[in-house]
Amino acid sequence: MAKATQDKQLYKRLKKKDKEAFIEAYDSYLDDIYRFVFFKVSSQADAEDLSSYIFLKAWDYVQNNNLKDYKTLKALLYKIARNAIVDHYRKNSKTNNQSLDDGKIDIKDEKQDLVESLVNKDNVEFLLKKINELKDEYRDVLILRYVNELNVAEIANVIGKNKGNVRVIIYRATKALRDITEGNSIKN
Amino acid sequence: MVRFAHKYNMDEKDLIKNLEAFKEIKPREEWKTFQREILLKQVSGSREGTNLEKAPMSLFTLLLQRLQYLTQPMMAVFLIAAIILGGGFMSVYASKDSIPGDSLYIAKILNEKTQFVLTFNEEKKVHLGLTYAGNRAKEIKELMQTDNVNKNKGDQVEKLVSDFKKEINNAKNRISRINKEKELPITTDEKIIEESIDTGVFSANLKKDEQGIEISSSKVDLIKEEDVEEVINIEKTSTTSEEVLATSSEATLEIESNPEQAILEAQDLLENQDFDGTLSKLEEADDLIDQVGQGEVQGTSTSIIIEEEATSTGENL
Repeated sequence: MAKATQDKQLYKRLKKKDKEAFIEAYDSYLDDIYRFVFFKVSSQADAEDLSSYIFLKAWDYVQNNNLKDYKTLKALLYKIARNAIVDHYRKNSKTNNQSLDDGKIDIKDEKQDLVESLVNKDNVEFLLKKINELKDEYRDVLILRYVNELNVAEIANVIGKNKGNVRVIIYRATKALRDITEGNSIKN
Repeated sequence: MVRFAHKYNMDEKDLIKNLEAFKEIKPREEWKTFQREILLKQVSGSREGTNLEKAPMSLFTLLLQRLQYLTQPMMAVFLIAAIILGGGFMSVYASKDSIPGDSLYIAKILNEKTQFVLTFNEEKKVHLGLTYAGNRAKEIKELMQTDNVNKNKGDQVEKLVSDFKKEINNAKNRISRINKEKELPITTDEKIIEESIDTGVFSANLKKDEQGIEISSSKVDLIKEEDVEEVINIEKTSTTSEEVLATSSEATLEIESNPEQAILEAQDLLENQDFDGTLSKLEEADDLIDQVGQGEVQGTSTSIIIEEEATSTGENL
């Protein structure tokens, strides 16, 4: 509740072109947004570039639009992130055959280094590979729910579905990930 | 520490615990700090830009803005008109060679009708009618040459022939009307010709060669009866009469080569499926239309000269 109020206050200040509010928003949400992007792009550099772009885009959006569609600043940031990732893959699709939907992202050395630095890296590395085999929607809800800790209502806001649907998607996504990790084939 | 039940075979709780481990993924601190500064500069820059937008407007700026409001609708109207007119010309051009069954054929017919309605000069209407008749002839030719199996081909050709005849008849009627309007001078000239026929001198000159032969035979009888000097005179006269006959024959041909005649011939040629012949006959008729008024007067004046010469020659006889 306190977070929601803080989010609203930040939004109001951003609307008034308060650059300090922008910095506060950056510090509050950068880690989550970066992580969300990190799972979906092939390199750490791409994750960094896209994260910067997402915050600038959010600034512009708040100045020129009403937040009614996204309800919270957090939801807006995730929404912009999802669109930015789609655009990123669209731009790269001509030079790189890798697509957002094939779910098999090559993890480059720099990204690998980051994973290896994590505690329990074997499990994380394995799970990272498996989660990338899921379809986008499943991957998104799992990261949003269990990694970035958004509640069902917030996820519903980000992916544009109702809470009931989100619960079903989370259940199916979890089951799909379990099936993969157990070596079973999944049906997306 | 999260454990896997069987190597990587994990239950839901384990799975979620492992997923939570991803929270440790974070951007590099140095990048984070560096990027914060860059973004702050960019955001500050955009705010300054926004302030500029809110600066009080000068009179000139205000005037420019008002002008924009005025010019935009005008530009829009101009562009719409340009598109409509341009599109119209393009479609007319594109439909030029269309035949019945083509999607653009209707545009071609509409264009013809519009053009005809907007033409007020009767002579020009005749020209247009003949052009359209020519178009129908071309379409029939093209339709008959197409190899594709067209069930309506017979009906379409029949319709085109009917349209061709309509155009032809309209053109003929129009030519008659134009002639009637210019009847007065023509009637006077014709009367002169008729009078000359009544005199029985060289009325035959305006008819067929057979009658010319009759005249020559009468000359032979005269030679038998008269003396040598007279024969010489008659020979001179006969020469004159032959010249007159030739001249009158040419005049007769000229009169016969009227547009109505050419149109009738075009119709005959179409019925015989000679489409090229039809088109060239229509072109001929088209050329002759300009002479419907002016040309006939010239033709009649030639007749007058013939008549005068004939009369004089007759008197000599």
